[in-house]
Order: sequence, then structure tokens, then C-alpha cells
Amino acid sequence: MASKGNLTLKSCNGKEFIVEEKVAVMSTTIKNMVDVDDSFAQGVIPIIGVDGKILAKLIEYCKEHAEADEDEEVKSEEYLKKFDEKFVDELNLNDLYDLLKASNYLEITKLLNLLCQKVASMIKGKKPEEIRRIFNIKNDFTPEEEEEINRQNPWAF
Amino acid sequence: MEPSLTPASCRNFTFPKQLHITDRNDTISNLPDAVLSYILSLLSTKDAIRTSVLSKRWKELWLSIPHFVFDEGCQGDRTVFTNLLSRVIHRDTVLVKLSISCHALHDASLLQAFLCNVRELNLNFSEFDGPFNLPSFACSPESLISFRMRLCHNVLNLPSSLCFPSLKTLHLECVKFPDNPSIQQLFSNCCMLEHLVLDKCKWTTDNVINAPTLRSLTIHEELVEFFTVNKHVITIIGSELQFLEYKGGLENEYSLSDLPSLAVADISVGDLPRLYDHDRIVALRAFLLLTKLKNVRCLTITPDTAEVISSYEHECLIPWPEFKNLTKLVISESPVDLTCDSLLSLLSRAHCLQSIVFSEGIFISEDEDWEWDPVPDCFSSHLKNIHVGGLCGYASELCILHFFLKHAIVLQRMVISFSADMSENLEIEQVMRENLLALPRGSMCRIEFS
Repeated sequence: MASKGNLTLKSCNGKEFIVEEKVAVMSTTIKNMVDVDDSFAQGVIPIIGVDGKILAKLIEYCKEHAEADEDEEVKSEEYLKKFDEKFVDELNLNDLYDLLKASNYLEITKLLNLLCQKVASMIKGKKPEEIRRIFNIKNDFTPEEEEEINRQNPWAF
Repeated sequence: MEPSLTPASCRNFTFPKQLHITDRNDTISNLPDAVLSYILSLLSTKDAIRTSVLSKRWKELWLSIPHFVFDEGCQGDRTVFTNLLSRVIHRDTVLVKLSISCHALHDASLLQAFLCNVRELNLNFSEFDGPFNLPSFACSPESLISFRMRLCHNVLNLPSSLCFPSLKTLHLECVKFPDNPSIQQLFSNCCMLEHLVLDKCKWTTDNVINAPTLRSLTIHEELVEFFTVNKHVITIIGSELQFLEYKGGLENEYSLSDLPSLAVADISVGDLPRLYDHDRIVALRAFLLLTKLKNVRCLTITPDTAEVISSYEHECLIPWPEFKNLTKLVISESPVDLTCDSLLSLLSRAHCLQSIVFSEGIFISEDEDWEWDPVPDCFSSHLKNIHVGGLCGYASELCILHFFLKHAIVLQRMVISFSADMSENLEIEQVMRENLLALPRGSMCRIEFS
């Protein structure tokens, strides 16, 4: 059981993490749970659909940002920027998607924004074929359908 | 405090369901619509539209983003472009922002849809022919908060009693106002209007700008050499007006009513060749404008404006007003000649002036022993900050700074910066710094270099 001020988060594959409340409530979803029902603050909060590896990543991110919010001198804006860059650069595609999904439903806005920026930067300025290759997107259009879309928006191609 | 621990399954919180994964490898397409739409909104409009061809999942996603920027460019089929615009605008939710740059757009129903379904609308036409007719509306366009339009000096025709009830910012560029009061009705009908910008617009009749909630008004007119002075009088009324900016040649007369809230004004009257006798008319207009700014706290004028006023100041029968609230005066745009009469007249009537900024430099036009006589009152009572930019290292500059340091006896801070051209001449700059620091001071002020 977590001591006062700490919360226990449990991943879908049974891994438990004890984190400070200020770190956990970076997630609006968790914050709402704790605010509405006090017993969550006492027991274990199951984070459904997020495995231990991804949950550890989420906690790593939230910990840095929660500490920076508390003390700007120790963790400056510049430090956070570097941390964010390194954080997204080290992710493989699958981790990136899993984190996107997790930060979306846990409502960790800052992280969601950061990850979306990362995906956007991978799409920016690229031709459709390149984008498909990068993200393993299967083209399910017939050549005629594809031609029709190109015809509708020639301006963009 | 709740002591017991209930299993998570008993609680009322529902987590989003795991998404159904159709293709294990194509995980990005399995992200929720909201996330993909947000990612697309971080891209340029072109990049976002280009994703429509990736797969069926992506085909319509780009249509859900809240802002679009379209630039028709030189190529492309007109119909295809308008069809594209039509697809974007006909939607359930209001667009946050839509910017369109194109040659022209004469489709009234499309324009109507833009004005009714967008919060921030920018229209930029590069080859518009004939008058621009703003469509009339069945319902009032309530979503529009900011509207910016650039024409090609075409007449803007407005339907009668037009009103944008939520409009806060209106920016019109290269628009010719019609020979009727419809534009003045528009200004006063927009009951939320706070910011109005009229850039290179032309008046064809007398008009009144009277918008009860207007806070800032910016008017830029093109500088035309040897113009014919127009007789159009544009009256500006606004009890809430706090900021006024005018740049132009005063081809028209701007008549300011009492503007009780006006705190900041920025006036730049171009000094350029005019036809015979028009100098006098423009000088008078400029002086009248300045007298109406007597209550402002912060005033920015250009050296040209001061020169235009000086040229016929002695002929003008209206006395200089007292600028009793003025605490900051900025002389912008170019170096100012300190022998200019109207500058001294203005300073002598700004008894509470605390800061004066000569942002682009100072000089004395004739090689004479210059000094202000009498020294303006504010030098001995209120003037705390003097900022001089754009110094070139001339002896006359040192003379002026000598005068300032000697007479500004309550001065706390003098900030000096050198002209960008001086960066190759560091020796002269160094000598100037040393000379300046050695000047006698009438106060305990600091001298800083930036």
C-alpha cells in the first residue's frame, strides 16, 4: 500500500508502480478519479490497457514535468526541452503509438501534444508513398480511386 | 475518509475500449480520430490534404481539422479550387480559422458560407476586378470574430444594415469605400468591434468612424507625391478608444472628437513633395491632429511629422495645448533634427514627461551653438529616462548629449545605443563612449550602453 501522498498504479500486466500524487495527477483522468473517489488515493489504481513498459515511460515523463512545475530553478525550461527531445527520439514506432493511445485516454495533455508533434514532423513535407512506408500504412484504394482523390485536390499534390 | 478498498471493476469509471486492430503493423491508422485529427492540425494545409490518399482510413480525416490556409498560387483549375473550398466550409462545426489567398472569388454563396461558418477569416485577393459585393445574409453571421480582407483598390459594396454581432477585429486593406454611408454604418453596427485597421484604403466621401466599443484604430494611407488634397473629412469618435495609429500623407482630414480614453498614439505624417499650397493644408491638418492628442500618456511621432508641423506652425492661429498627461515621448523612424521648432514646442508643454526616446538618432542641422532656450520644464522636474539610439559618433551628437546631461537634473538613467553601421568602426565607438562618460552631469544618473 502506498504511503500518504503516494499513489499505486497497476499496469494491465500486473506491474505496480508507487508514484507521488503530484506525478500521477499530471493525468487528468487519474486526477478526476482521485478527486471524485477518495479510496483511489488509498488503494491501487488499475491502468487498463497500458502495460508495464509503457506505464514506466509515462511515469518517467510525468515525474520530470511535475518536478519542473514545482521548482523551475532545478529543472529549467531548457532542461525540459532537452528531456522532451531525448524522450521522443528514443521511442520506436510501436512505443510511440502505445504512448499516444495511453496519453490520450489518461489525458496527459503535454505528453500527447509532444507525441503528436513528433508524428507530425515525420509526415511534414513527405510524399504519400514515403509516409506509407514510414508508418506501414497499407494503401487500400484501387488505382482509379486514388486517381479520383488526386483529381479532387490537385492543389495539394 | 473512505477506509475500504473496492475492486476496480465495481467503480463507475469506464476506460476507453481497446481499439480494434485490423492490421497489426499499421498501428498509426488505429489511433482514435481525435488524435489523428490533432496530428493533422499540426501540419500545413497541403501536408494535411496530402494524407487523404494514404488509405481509406485517412481519406476524410483532414476535413476535420479546425484551420486551413489556402494559397491558390499561379497554377490550377478554378473550379477544382472552389470545389475544394466548398468541401472545407460545408461542415457541422464552425472553422476556427480560414485563410485564402487567390486571384478573385465571385461566388456569393461561398463567401456567405465563409462569413457564417468561420471564426477568423482572412481573404487576400490579388487580381480582383470590379466592385466587391459583400453578400447579404439571411441569418446574422454570429461566428465571425476576426475578418481581414485585402482587395485590389476595388469598391466595397455592403448590403444595407449589415452587422457582424461578434466581430472584434476588422482589417481592411486596399479597399475603396463607396460613395455612401454604408461603411460608417458597418462600423457602428458591429457592437463588439475592438480593433479596426484600415490599410491603404481610399475614402470617396466624408465618413464617420464611430464604433462604441472600439479600443484600437490603425489607419495607414499610401504616400502619394504631388497628390491633390482631398476634402474628405473623416471624423473619429470613440469613447473607449485607447490606441490610435496614423501613417500617411494626410490626403484626407482626420478630425478627432474628444477621445477621453485615448492613452497611446503613434503618428507619422510623411514629408514629401506636394503641389503648391498643399504643404500649408497638410501642416494644418497635422497640427490639428496633434492638438487632439493632448491627453495621451504615450506619444510616438516621426521627425517628418515634426517638420511638417514646424513649416507652418507660426501661421496657425490655434495655440499649442498642454500635454499634461504625457509621460513618454518617442521619436521614431529616422534621426531627428533637434533644431526643429515643433519638437521644442511639444517638449515645453509636456511638463510631466518622464521618458524620452530618440530611437533612430539625433543631429543638429546647422553648424551652430545649439541649445534649447528655455530648457523645457520637464528637464528639471520629471525627466528620468533618456534613450538615444542610432548614434554615429559625430561631435554634434556629443554636444546634444552634453546638453541633456547638464540640464536633466532629475535624470536617473541614460541609455545609449550605436547605429548598426558603427559595428565596423569600434574605435570611434570607444572614443565616443569615453567622451560621453567624461561629460559633466547635473544629476546622479547612470549611463548604460546597449
